[in-house]
Order: sequence, then structure tokens, then C-alpha cells
Amino acid sequence: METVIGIDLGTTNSCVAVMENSAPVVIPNRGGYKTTPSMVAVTEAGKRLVGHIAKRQAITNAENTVYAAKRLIGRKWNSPQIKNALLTSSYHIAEGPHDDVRIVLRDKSYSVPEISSMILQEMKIIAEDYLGQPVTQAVVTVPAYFNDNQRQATKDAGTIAGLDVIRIINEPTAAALAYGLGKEIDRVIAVYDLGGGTFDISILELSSTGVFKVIATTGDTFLGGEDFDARIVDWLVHGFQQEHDIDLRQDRMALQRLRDAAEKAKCELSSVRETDINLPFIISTGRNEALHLQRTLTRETLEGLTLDLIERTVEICRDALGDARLDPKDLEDVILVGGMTRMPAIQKAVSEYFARTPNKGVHPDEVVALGAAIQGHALVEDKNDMILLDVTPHALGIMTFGSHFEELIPQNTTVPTSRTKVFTTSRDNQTAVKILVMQGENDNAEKNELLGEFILTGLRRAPKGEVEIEVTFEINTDGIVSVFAKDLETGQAQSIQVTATSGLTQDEINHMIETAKDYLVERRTDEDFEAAKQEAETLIAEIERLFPEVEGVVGSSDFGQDALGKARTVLEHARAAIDARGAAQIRQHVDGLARTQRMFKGVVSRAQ
Amino acid sequence: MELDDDEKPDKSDPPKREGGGKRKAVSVKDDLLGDIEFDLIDEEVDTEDTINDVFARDTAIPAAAPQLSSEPEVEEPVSAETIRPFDEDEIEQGLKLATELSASSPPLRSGQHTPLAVEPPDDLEFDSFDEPIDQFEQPIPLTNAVTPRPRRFGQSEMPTAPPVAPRDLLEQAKRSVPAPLGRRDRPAFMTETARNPAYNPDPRARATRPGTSTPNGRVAVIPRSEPAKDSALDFVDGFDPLLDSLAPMSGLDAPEPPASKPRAGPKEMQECYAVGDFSRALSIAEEILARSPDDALARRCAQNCRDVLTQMFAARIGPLDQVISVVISPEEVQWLALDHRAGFLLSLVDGQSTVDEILDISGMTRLDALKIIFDLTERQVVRLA
Repeated sequence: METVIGIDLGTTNSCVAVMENSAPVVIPNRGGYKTTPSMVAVTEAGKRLVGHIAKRQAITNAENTVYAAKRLIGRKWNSPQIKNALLTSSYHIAEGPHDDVRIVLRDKSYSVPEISSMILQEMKIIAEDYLGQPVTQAVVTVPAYFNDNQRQATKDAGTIAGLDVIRIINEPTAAALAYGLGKEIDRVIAVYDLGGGTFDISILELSSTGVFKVIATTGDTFLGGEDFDARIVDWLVHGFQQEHDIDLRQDRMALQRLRDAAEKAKCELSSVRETDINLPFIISTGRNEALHLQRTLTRETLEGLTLDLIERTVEICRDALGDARLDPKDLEDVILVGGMTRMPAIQKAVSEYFARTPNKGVHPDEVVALGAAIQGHALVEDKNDMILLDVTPHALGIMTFGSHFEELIPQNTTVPTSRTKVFTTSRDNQTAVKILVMQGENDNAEKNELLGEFILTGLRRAPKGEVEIEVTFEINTDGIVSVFAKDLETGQAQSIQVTATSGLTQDEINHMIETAKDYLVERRTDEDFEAAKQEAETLIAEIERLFPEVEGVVGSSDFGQDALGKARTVLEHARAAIDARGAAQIRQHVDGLARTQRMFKGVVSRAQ
Repeated sequence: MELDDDEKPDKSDPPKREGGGKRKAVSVKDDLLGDIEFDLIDEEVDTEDTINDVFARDTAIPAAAPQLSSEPEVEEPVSAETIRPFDEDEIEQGLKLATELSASSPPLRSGQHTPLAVEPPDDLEFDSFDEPIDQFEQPIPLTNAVTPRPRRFGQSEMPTAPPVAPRDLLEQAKRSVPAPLGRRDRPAFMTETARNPAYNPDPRARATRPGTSTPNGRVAVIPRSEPAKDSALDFVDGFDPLLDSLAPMSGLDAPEPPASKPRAGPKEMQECYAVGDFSRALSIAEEILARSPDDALARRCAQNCRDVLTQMFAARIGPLDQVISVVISPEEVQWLALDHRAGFLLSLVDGQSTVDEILDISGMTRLDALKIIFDLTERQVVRLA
């Protein structure tokens, strides 16, 4: 049976997990880290960097490093979020050909799903290296507020990365699954998710029937761990400026080091009460001296620096409960998600607001990926009791007179489904109606996402409210929404099929799939070469080490001279194969090297 | 200087020689310093010989300077099928022979060599402490009385003695293989020894000279122009033109040249380039570009110098897929004399990343980053493995 991986594709960090022996486990990357920064960069030489290595150069190569691509995925060019990103992003965002968004790195344009696919591909590689087998299926998590286009864009990213995304699930739902909640009893829980770049609070109603209903979800897409880091950086910069009258922000290398040190210090302060920040040679003064930065940060200082950020999350929790028309005491559980929730001050604030100790049995960085892995396993194992039902993430409806949103299919409705409603004309002698298909929960239609529109013409001229039009929304098992409008009097009908789109055409996606495959082949080839080279170089080094001694022992005989000449030839050709960068060629020489090494070792040992 | 189309040689053609060892004027479009070459070749020096001379000193240099290189020769890898590895019989025979020989004579000390049997080629220039190398840039066994040990990191392939090598060994090496005549009269090589001081295991001593470091967060750096005081390796050729290149590192911000000093011009730049002093040529080119940013010749020269120097440093460092790690404690690091760029680069070294990865994320030019890594390895602050 094929293994399905669960991927938490986060705004700042991503995580991959898999089921092993009936338990979900997080797969560490090559560096041993269980999460990988969701960052992609292109170096001056055109090399692609993904993950930690991209993060480590994020400030020094800011123009060519993409972070928080998740904030852009599935968005339209004219959306407010993109306008905001244009003001705040260090990388170049451009308009795509289909009213979508493109990111320009070193003069090459990438779609947002393409960028996300690079992260997913990295997750896939991490899993394949761990499992020792190809991985093609995945469950990927998204925020509960993602609309269909954003979900489709995430799916497309998976497809480009060579993954069949068999299910997209909400992050709070995945977290709840990882805690084993919702198996038998119905309950209402809150999921407090403070990640690296975003904050989400979701109120979920779990039912034993398999529906995890998101009653309310809200948050701040620009509030997260990075803001906490920024406060520490400000504190360090300010202190240094007072002492030396130098603004470290003006130097990118200094800033990169400050950011890294701030994040490290913040993490350390979750377990210790104070930590030293030591950055030698942080800056040169221009007077033949380099300055060090040395400061001690205490937990109390950090809490003082970030108090308002913590309070802001509590305010947002208050709003979410207000939306759900619930009191904190109505909640039966609170789950903490995201690395930032390890901060003692945050745990204290959450405990105080919800008046209960939050559930923190599962590692907050890993909990979402673990939930996704559980769901993926249940899907292939066909464990019906564990399978979440596919529901509409947001309500679907049409815009009516006065920009009012008329809901036809409510949020969290299981699919497939169909709903019908009858509407009338709003003006006298109206002969046509425009049906605007929208998705969202806001009563003001303009604040919801426009999915498509069509016009029904040929209506009878009549006073307003007299002509009746029947509108039917239908969602099939593939999630495709069809909308039909019919003049009940004349039978005249018109329809539209709305498919969620990431902004990419199928041709574009196919092309990106091929490009991603090429990259993977190239990368695997490089890895293969490196492995072969390492093997050969180890043998070469050993032979070279033994050469003088062997020479001393057998060099005076004819046979010895021949043998040494042969050994030199073997070494030369092995080196030439390494220079030619061919893994297969190198492997052809490994046997010869191994034999030479064996003989040399034997000669040396007998001579002693 | 532009040539007519029909005069333009094929890029792949190697540079041709004309009678008397003079190189025929050769230019290709990509040969950015073609103009410089012509002037110098025609009027003053045999450029090719001069540059070969420089390269011969530096055994680690992988390729010729741009103006001399045509298409790089790609060596056809030989299939393993064409090489007959040792078969079992041969291995057995070798072991038997070893047993016989060791029984008939006292065992050799580890690393003991047979006497000098191969004379170094006449055209290969080396100093007494240089290990001769073969065409694959590997030490030629049997040519040196000193035990050829695997080159440890930090040991330069340049004609310098390993900083930790026993003195008697060095003396022995110096006596055993006399330097070819005509190579001794290079005063620069004999006088500049201060930049390669004897290795001192105390990192503080390694880092700075007494009185230059203060624990209060400031590191005073000795200006590069300070005269040499250390005579521990006075016979060692400590001159390394590479370490003079580009932005100063140990010296942090280089002192401003005296106002009275005449500005170096294009002629000096061309001369430096022609004799292979790419560091100086680059420095002058950058000076010229600072004054006149549109100077095409200086720009071309700077680019060529950077390319060559990058290659040279990369060759010195060795395979770029080696993992780089810091070998001294964080407390010791602050006693080093580094600038903020070296400090930054050092902060990227995590013991897991390769040199190539560090270069990718350094945010510096490849040349600057290589130079810093090379310097840190020479000072045994980092190790490659």
C-alpha cells in the first residue's frame, strides 16, 4: 500500500509527517530539523535554495528570497492582500497573465503555486529519503479561511511538485485530529495557532460523525513569531546605537545575524530565564576596529517587549468567540499550535483568557502535520470512522439587490450537495438579470470572493417582483460548482460551471510539472555523484596515505614498480572520472580502487 | 583593439607562438584584455612566459589566465574497462613479496622513502620546500627526501612550509632539493614573512599580537603596512600575492593611501595584469572605476582579475563540497582579528554546510567569500573535511 504523507505547508515553516506502526511521526530534514522554513531563494549563480539554507541568506539576498508565499497563493492581482504585499515584500511581485500574481527572482518569473511547489517538493524529498521509497500521495493542510481558489492553488502546487494531493484539510482540524479529539464525543474546542508569521484562532465543533465544523475562524496574517523576533532586534539595535552610535540596520550582514540571534534567543527563553546574545565582529567602524555585540536578554525583558503582541492575540480570540456567540467557559478544550505557543507568557495569557489549561501534549510545531498524516493514512486504509467529510469551506451564494449576499449553500455543508432558491426581479420591466456567484460569509457581497458571473436574458417585461427566477447551486463530488438560473415563466435557462482556479492554465501546470521533474532528476543526479565521489575519494585518500610505505617496501622490485605504476594509473583515472562528474564512471573505478587499497593495506601490514 | 572578421581566430585555437618565443598577437572577442596583451607583448615583455612563470610558482592554480586560455581541455574519462585492476593473483603476489622483502631487511619506519629517483622537470619551478607535483597536481613520490604526507587543511600548496612542521624537517627539505638557479633572486619572496607567522597553539596569539586585543568588545587591528617583527620562518617564502587581493580583511578598512602618492593608472594596471599580479591589477582597476565608473578597460580588467582570482582561491581551498566547521570555541573567536564580513561568514559556519553552500548564502561575491574562507583556514579558525 502506498504511503501517504501529511504536509503542513506553513507560512513560515513547513513540516512533513507519516504514519509508522500506527503512530504518526514527523520526518526530520537532512539537517535534523523537524520543520523546514517555507523559503525559496535563487542565488546569483542561479542555484535554487529551499528551506534553512534559503533562510540563512534571506536578508543578505532579500530581493531574491521568497518568504510567506502562502499569503499570496490563490489571490487575484487586484486583491487587497496583494496590494499590501506589494508594499511590504522585499521581493518583486508582478501581475500574471490571468489576473494572478507572479514573483520575479533573478529576472525569471514564477507563479505562486510554483514557489509553493518547490517547498512541497522539498518535503517530498525529505519523506522519500526517510522512507527509502517514492512518495506520490499527500494530504496538505491549509488555513480554515482559505477559499476554493486558494485551496485549488495549493493542490496545483502539489501537482507541480509531483504529489497527488488526495485531500486538503483545515489546519485546526488537523491539529484536533492529532490530539485524538472528535473520535467519539461531540465537543467545542478552540485552536490557538501562533506560527512564525500568522495568528489564527478557530472555534471548532467536533462531531463523532466525522464533521469538524469550523464555527468561527479569524486571525491576523501579519502577526507571528517574526514580530517577536523583530522586537528583540529593535532592542539590540537600540542598545548598540546608544553605546556606539552605529545603526546596525544599515548593514545587511549585521541585520541577518541579529535576526538569527534574536530567533535563537527567543526560543531559548522558553526554557531558561536568561540568555546571552554574543555576536562578535558585528560591524566594522571604519577606524580599523570591529565591534562585538554582547548582551544578556532575560525572559522578563522579552515579555515586556512583546506584551502588546500577546494582548493582541487575546483580543482576536475575544472577537472569534464573539463571532461564534460563545463564552470562553463554553469551550471544552483549547489546543495550542505553532512554535510561538511554547513561550510561557503566551501559555499564561491563553490560560487566563480561556480559564483552562491549554492542551499541549503534542509538539505545537508538529501537531498539524501529524494530523494530516493521520488523515492520509485513514484515507488509504479506508478507515471510515477517521475520515473527515469533504465540506464546503465557505458559504456559496449570489449577490442580490443592494450588494446583499444571499447564501444558498452554507459553510461546512458536506459535498455533493444541491440547493435551490427562487428570486424575483428588482426593477420594473427588467428583461435580464446578472447572476454573480460568490463565496464567503459576509452579508456584504462585495467583501466576499467573486467566483463567476453570467446573465440570464429574455425575461418578460413586468413590474418588479413579478418575474420569478429559480437559482440552483450544485456541487459534485469533485468540488465543481454548477449554477443554474431559470425563468420559471418562460423556462428560459442559463448556467455556469465554476471551477476553482489557481490562476494557472493546464498547459502552464503541465510545463511546470516537467520543469520540476527536470530539477528533481538533476538534483538526484548530483546526489548520486556526490555519494560516488565520496566513496572514491575515501579510497583514493587511503591509497595515497599508504603509497609511500608501500613504495618503501616493494618499490625496489620489478613487480613492485609495475604494481605502483598500475596503482598510479588507477588513481589518475579515478580522479579523471571524478572531474568528469559522472557517478557511473566513478563507480566503474571503485572496484579497482578497492583492490588497490586492499593490496596496499596487506603490504603495509606484512611489512610491519 | 578589434580585428577584422577574417582575422579573428577560432576560440578553440590555442595561442600560437612566433619565433623567439614571442606570442603572436591573438585576440578573440571574449578576450577582454586583448588590447592590453598586444601592447605589452609587442613592446615590453613576453607575456606568456611571464604569466607561466607566475603560475609555475603557484601549483594550485587550475587554469591559465584568461588571455592565454582558449577552450578548456576536457579530459576524456577513461572507462574502467580499459584499466585492468589488480587481480587476486597480483594482490597475492604483492603480499608475498612484501613478506619476503620485510623478512630480508629491517622494517622501514613509517613514511620512510626510497632515495631520490626522479628529477623534477626543468621547466617546473619550485622552491626547496615545494613538493613536486605531477600533471594531475598530485605530489610525485620518490622525488623528495621528506615524507610526503597528505596535505592537511591549512597547509598551503604555495611554497610555504606547513606552520606546524618540525624545523629540522624543513631544514632537511631545504638542503635536500636545491632550488633551481634563477629562482632565488626574488626578494619579495624572502622578506615578507610576517603574514605567515609561526603557528602558536594559543588562539589569542594566533589571532592578534600582544596588546592589540581588548576584551571590551573592540579589536584593534594592526595595519597591514606594519613591518614584520616575526622571524620564526625567515627562510620561508611567505609571500602570497592572493592574500593581498581585494578588500582588506584582517586589516579591516585599509588605510587611505597618502595624498601625495600618485594615482595608479591604466598602464600600471596592465603591467600588473600582464605579470600575473591580479590582486594589484584588480585593486588599481577598482581605483580607476571609483574615479571613472565608465572606464571600459578597467571594468574588463577587474572582471578578468576577479575570475582568475576566484579560480585561484577555489583551487587553494580544494573541493567546495567539503563541510566547513569552526575549530575554536566561541570565546576564542572574539580574540581573532577579523572584520565584520569575516565575522558574518564565520557566523554562517554551522559544521553541516559545505563551502559551496556558505558561498551561496554569504551574500558576498564569490571571490570575497573564498578569500575569507581561505584566510580563516590558513589561520586554523575553520577546518574543511
